[in-house]
Amino acid sequence: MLLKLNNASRIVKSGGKNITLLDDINLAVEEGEFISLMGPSGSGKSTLLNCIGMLDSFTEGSYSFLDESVDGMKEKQRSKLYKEYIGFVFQAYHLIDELTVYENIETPLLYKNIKSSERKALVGDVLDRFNIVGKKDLFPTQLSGGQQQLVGIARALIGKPKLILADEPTGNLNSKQSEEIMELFSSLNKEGVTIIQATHSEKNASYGSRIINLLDGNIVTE
Amino acid sequence: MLRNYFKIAWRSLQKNKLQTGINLLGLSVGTICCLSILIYVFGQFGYDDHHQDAEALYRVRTVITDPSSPEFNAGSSGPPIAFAMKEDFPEVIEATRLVYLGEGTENLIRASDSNTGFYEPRGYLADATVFTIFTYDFIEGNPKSALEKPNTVVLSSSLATKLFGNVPVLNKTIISGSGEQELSLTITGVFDDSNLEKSHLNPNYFVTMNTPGLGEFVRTEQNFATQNFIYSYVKLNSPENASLVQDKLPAFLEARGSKDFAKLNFKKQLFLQPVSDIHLHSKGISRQIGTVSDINYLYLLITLALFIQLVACVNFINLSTARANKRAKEIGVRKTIGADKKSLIGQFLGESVLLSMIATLVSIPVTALLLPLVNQLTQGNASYGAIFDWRVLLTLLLIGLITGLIAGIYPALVLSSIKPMRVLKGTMYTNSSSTLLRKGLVVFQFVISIGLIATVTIITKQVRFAQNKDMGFSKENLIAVRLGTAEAYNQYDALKTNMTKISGVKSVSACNIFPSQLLRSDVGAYLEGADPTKPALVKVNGIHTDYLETSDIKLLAGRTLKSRDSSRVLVNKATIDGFNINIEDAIGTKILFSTGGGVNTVEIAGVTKDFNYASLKEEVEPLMLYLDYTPDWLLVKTSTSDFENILAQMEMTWKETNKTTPFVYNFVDKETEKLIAEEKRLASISVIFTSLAILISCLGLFGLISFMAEQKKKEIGIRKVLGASVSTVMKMLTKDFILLIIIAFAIASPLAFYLMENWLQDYTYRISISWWVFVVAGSITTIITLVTVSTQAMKAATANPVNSLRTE
Repeated sequence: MLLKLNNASRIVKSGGKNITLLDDINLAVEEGEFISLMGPSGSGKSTLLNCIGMLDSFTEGSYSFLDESVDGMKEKQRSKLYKEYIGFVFQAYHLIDELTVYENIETPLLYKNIKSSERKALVGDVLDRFNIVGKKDLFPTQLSGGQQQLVGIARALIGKPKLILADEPTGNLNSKQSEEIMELFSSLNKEGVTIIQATHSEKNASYGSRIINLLDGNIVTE
Repeated sequence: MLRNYFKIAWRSLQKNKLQTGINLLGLSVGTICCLSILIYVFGQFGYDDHHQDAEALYRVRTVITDPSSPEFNAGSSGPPIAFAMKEDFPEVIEATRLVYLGEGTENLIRASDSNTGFYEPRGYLADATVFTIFTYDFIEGNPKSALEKPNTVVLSSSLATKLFGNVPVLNKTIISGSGEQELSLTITGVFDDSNLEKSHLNPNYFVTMNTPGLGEFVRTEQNFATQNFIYSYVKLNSPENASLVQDKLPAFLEARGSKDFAKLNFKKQLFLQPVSDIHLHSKGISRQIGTVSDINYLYLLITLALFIQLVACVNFINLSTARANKRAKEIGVRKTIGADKKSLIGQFLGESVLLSMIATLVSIPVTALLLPLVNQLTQGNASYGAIFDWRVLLTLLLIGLITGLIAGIYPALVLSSIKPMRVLKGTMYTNSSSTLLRKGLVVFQFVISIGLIATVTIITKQVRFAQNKDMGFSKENLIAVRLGTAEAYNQYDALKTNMTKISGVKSVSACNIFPSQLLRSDVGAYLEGADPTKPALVKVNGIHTDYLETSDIKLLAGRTLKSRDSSRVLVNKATIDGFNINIEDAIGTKILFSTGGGVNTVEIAGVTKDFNYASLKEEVEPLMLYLDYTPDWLLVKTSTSDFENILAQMEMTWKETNKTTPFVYNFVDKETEKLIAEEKRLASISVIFTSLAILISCLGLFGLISFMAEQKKKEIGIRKVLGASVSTVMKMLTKDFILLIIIAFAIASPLAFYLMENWLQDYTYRISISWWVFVVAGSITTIITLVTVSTQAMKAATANPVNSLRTE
């Protein structure tokens, strides 16, 4: 079991009222799954992803990751956990504009205090695999959207995560670029990486092994 | 990791050119100020530490409290004290006395085989023990015995070269003085003075105390109360015993001088002052040798430089936190890919430290280029080598590092605590506590600007006041020519007659001390019939006929002195006020005073208006003018300021009667200017610092308003679509700043008032601080701010809203 949610909710206060963003979610994810979260805007897809990614937290219920309870963890332990096991891919890519492709991919390794020679080898491998060696010295703004997302995924993968959380990874891309990215996800999944993506597109969802539909913070169908 | 921080820092700096430019300019200017001040300040330390056992050397200074006159707090003391201390205290292992031969009163010196004489400054009469206390590097002769024999002299190497050329001079003779005081002195030593500026003595030559005249007087004088004009130095067996010796001094003075004090009504105290403290810790002590500095002045300069640096740091903080939004995305991303707070703080500190280090590097060559200006402002003589002194460089490096940390730490904390979720979701990041801090810092900058403008205005006003103050005499077109030898003053009458004939010369007279020079001589005087044990100190100056006319000093009563009035004197108003006599009764009143020869009686012939001889810091003291037949200075009043022609004729006339005495002259107005040199220097330094502080603050405001306008682009667009006019938009962008200026004004005005009131306390003759100074300072700041802010606000306000809304 990679992760398990039991009656997990997220309720926030806004303007004196309680707003339920996630309501009583029960979800178990096995290693190697490729899950697509679907639902209209505001249904809670991103919130669920962020909570699973430990960037946000559930306010009720329990969440265990790799059989370890996340609920009582301190900020520091949590960030250690997600640093180690989770990679994030964003709709808006979120590359650091000041850094080159190479440096963007390398940065997570710096934060893990990995030695320079090893970093070089790891980044080299990923560049090779994603076929972007020729672009390694370019800055993000010099790349197309598809290429930027490729770099984003490469950066998420460099730390060898067990789980990739992708929030509408193709939302800003055209259909051809989308297809390439989804193909990539699918091949990563075959190598054993667990993927949870939020998407609006039935077509993208079809790459996954499991589809979860959300509405108003509830899982409606599976 | 560190390399990575700097790489990112470098790129981020490059990306925000305006912000980087503003910060770099500000920090560079600040660091240049710091470095310039550092060089000067380091140059002021280390005085007199070249002497052997320097820490065991003390000067004996004197404080006399006399109910009838201002406190006498001097670096000098009486003749018998130093050696009596050596006799009485086992802790005192050596003693010596110096008589400073003064400036403007120095003897003419020449090689015995030459007719060319020089007035050489920085000469001393010294006991033979002088070189066991002070260490000088002898090139010729033996320091131990050099001044033991009568009529011996030790010269500095530069004076020896000036008089004799580059030859050995041991046992050669020089002639000092003239007429009856002419002395033939044998050179018994030469010391190297090529590296001697850092000494409060800064000696040019030492004549043995074992000479007739003044030397003999000092050797034989046994009065422990009076004649406090010599400088006494003692060497202790250990500096730890200083307080012990100090504690024994009152009893010592009582035991040795009780009979001397019985005749007088003042209280005298002696203090030990470490020789190494003389240069920087002599505040309030008069009768110094040469000029001393003041540690408070150094603190003031350091404070001013640090203020500039702080203002630049404030810019950095304000611009960085204001731009937090722009960087929020980067921070959010970094956090999701594994950055923790610590590494982010490291990254942002990296940016500020890198920037301040660049500023540090920039400051070195720029300061080197500006060094002549720095020297001129501080009256220092730092060389390029002073910049590369390791202590200076180390301090500079530390300043750079600390500046980087101070500027960077708050932005780093703010930026690193941004929550990634918020940013990545696209919620705008705002931090109200940093907005408040930013406003506080802008107020701080305004406080500095308003405070400095007010301060500068007040200092400048005081300087102008001092320059224009009616000193009681007319300093314009007044030339003083040195009559330093018997040859010159013995022919004074002929000289006067001839000089008066020169066209353009209005009046000619003579005196011992000309206005602007320090009057040192005084006597204890009392009225006929009064108690002789309660004399009052009255300064004395020798003059010649026509003195009042020549210096335009007003006579209030009686008449001036005529050439036969040897037992009559002129006194100033302060004297008769001191003696409590009416001006109507003053003429003919007899004044008595004792000198070495006995009691003299003189009669008041006239009363003059008070006139100010020296600094405006001192009150006009009682003064007695007597007729001196061997005056030291010729005073010439001209009717024009075409000096070139008149001086040429005066020199020709001079040479008719003077064969060996050189024609040396001073302009009295220029010498008077020198009296307020310190204030003028302070004024020009403050003006520079103020301008820089304002410039840097303006740059910061410019950056801030550019950013605000950028941030509010959409709001402005919408408001304009809804019908807002340019002026309402302008008001919206600038009203905050006006409020901040008002707050700053309320803080700065009382602060500046208090500080300046304190500064002005030192002046007996001073301006009063008027309220409009602060209004002007506030207005100037407001105007400068509005101009700075308006350019950007205008741009934002007049932009076409269609553009800003479309791009959203």
